[in-house]
Amino acid sequence: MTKVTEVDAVTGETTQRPLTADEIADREQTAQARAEREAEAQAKADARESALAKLAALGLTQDEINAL
Amino acid sequence: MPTNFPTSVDNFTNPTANDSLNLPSHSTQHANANDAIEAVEDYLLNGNGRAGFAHLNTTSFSASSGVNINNVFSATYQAYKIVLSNMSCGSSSQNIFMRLRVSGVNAASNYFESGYVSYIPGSVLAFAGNSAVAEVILSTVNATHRAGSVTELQNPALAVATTMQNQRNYYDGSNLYGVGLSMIHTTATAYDGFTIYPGASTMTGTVSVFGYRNS
Repeated sequence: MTKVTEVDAVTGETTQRPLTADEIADREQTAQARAEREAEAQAKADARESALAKLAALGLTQDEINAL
Repeated sequence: MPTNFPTSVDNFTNPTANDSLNLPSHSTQHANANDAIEAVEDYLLNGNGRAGFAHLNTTSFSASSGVNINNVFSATYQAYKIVLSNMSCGSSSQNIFMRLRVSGVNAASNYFESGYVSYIPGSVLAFAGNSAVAEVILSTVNATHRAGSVTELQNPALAVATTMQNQRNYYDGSNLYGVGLSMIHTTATAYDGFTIYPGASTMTGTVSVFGYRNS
């Protein structure tokens, strides 16, 4: 059961209702965009780790890598 | 005579024993006294007429898909504090997101966030942030360990960009994470509330809103 709490801070009235179809669609679309962003960020992080490992394999010290 | 409170002390005309009911006016005497009492009540209970910090709303929720706090931002307050406490979720780990809203409609674009993540044991982790996305993250929670966050907002009720600063903690059972974010919503719209919701599953906890007023 998906429920949303609606609060009116002026009157103090609180009600509960199910998510609407539009809200469910929006949640799904937002989650998809979020997943794509996270995958892109992870790919960048992985590429950085790979590059650092290759630099170390070439003989650069950690201080030299940090200085780049 | 309107009351001078809280600017200065009122100077009421006291009736004497032989005065008639119309001089000074009996009804005016009561009206003046009532105005002064109401002004004191408004000052003490609502903070109207003085600078300060006021509690505006606290809502607890359980296994919720979202909480919409409406009519909580207004011209009365210039800045706000949103506190999430005792937060958990129905799955292993979830972020809790926020959007500003007005008249029941969420603003779903133009959010930016940037900051740091650190953890114990460990070090500061890089956090690249997000640009022009549909939401900001207020908290990170799991099903076992309660989490909390504090978010400060400036000018959400004005038709200018809303600036925000978020501090939160997340404990996964072995690592304690600390997060500090600078956030902005660049749409120049006056909002009257906000929504919070989990990335998936449901959330349990309490949200409190406080307002800062300059006068």
